[in-house]
Amino acid sequence: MNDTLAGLLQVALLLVLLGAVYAPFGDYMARVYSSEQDWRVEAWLYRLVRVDAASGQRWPTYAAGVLGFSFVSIVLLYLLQRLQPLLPMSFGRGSVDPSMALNTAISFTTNTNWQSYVPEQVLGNTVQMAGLTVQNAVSAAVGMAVAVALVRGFVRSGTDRIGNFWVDLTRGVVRILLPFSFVAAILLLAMGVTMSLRAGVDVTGVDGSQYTIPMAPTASQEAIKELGTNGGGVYNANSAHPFENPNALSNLFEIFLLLVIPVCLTRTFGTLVGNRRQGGVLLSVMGVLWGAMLAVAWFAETHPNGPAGVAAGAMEGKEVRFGIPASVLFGVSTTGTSTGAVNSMHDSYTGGAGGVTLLNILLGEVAPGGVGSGLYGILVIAVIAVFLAGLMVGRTPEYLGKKLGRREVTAAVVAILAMPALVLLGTGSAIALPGTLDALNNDGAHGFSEVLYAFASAANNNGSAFAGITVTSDFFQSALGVAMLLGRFVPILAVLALAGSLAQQRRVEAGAGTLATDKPLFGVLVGGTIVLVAALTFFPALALGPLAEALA
Amino acid sequence: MGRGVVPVADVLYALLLVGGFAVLVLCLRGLERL
Repeated sequence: MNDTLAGLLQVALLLVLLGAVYAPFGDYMARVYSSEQDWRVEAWLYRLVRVDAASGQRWPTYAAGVLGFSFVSIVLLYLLQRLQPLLPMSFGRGSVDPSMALNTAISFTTNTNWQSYVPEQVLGNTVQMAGLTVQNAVSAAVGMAVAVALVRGFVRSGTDRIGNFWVDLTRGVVRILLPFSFVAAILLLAMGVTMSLRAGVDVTGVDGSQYTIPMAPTASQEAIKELGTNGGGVYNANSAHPFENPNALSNLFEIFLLLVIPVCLTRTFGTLVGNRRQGGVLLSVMGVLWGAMLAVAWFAETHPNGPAGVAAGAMEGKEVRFGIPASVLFGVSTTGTSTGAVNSMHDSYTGGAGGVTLLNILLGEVAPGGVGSGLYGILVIAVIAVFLAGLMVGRTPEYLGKKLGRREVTAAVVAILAMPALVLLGTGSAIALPGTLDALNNDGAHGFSEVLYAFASAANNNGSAFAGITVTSDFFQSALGVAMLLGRFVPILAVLALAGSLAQQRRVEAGAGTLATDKPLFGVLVGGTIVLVAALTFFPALALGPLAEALA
Repeated sequence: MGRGVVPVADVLYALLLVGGFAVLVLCLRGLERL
């Protein structure tokens, strides 16, 4: 079977799998967040931390919960790394440097999983399991909680309560992420992913030399790494490592895992607002963008310029067991979500495909986006699209029965513009510093892309690396840490403000001037808004980097 | 890493973190006034 046919069959199988779980899983998540009943373990947790699960919160209280929980998470994760020599199963690995520890703590708490360290050399099992894996679950649950709070803003009427953050957080972990990642970990084990608490295995090479192959609790980390769109691997090579991703089946399953929650959350949205076509329109926008990105990247990698063309494709930086189709399928899915796991080196992609992975992140990660962040990201863009329709064709600016006035549009604009500001200011500052050139493996357009990709990945909480750039200096650790922190929470605050404002409004009935938002035309408008915002914001930067390289 | 360097670096990065969250709290207050 040739590569193209095998790739097309994999894409088809992936779509069939997602289609099969779309309705049941999406509806299940809707029930999780709308149920009046607490599970026994949840009730016990609420009593333990003295949370009144029955009381709703105003949006500033909900937001304070998000910030407080995340602040404590970062401090605890920082301390775990700094005190690593005192912890069991550390295998003699020392205290993590302060700049790296803070960068990593912010990275995993913000669902970014940017890794400036080599996991198998720097971290032991306790930090991996009690620190990073825990954050993989709870940071994903935070994103889902914020998305659900925004949906409640549309659903509720005449109230200032948008839900209870602690309840949403707990339910996301207990009812969705933990059980499904447990099942996924078992399936990954069956596919050949390793799972061990040993430091490593001593082996003798064919030349008689002694080696130690590092081992890690891989399968348990791998499952939530993909399901929670986190992306931080237990090995530096991430999902290109055979222990994390041994074969084509595990590769396809990991892609399925990283797409499944963001895709099915559109069904959850449609179910909660009482009109599933609303969710279907958003899913179709996500799907078209994802498909277009996949097509361009696939074509670019199979039609490279230069010497790679002779080899019938750009195989540098790719695993032979995956080949081009399964590599770009993973690459487009990991950058379209906020996962950031990689099974191939994006730095080695051709200018066109590398540009696609970068653009996918710069679109704001809405194709289909991260766990929770994808849904609230595209809903914010839908708000802007409705507002633009009002300006262009005189429709009344209302979405799902809620009027979009100054407060709502201002909050949406803050949510959208925070990320470009961080990416462009961060990249500009880094490029202006003389030491940055020494941190790059390449000069010219490709070197610029490496810096742009780093800040795009951090500010969008993606976490994938273009590689080719050394980010262990205090400047990069700190600047990227700040980009991750503000890139995560400024939009979240704005989204919660939007939710609070929408929930306070009374529902208005659709009139003759109301834009139909459950029709394909609205999907075109939302897709156009996504592309337009990204193009207007990032075209000059993209022209200096991947576009210049692709046209050279 | 020198023995005396560790606490200073920890304090500096703690200040960076607190500063980052202070910006976020200001952002929250600003959004409340919309």
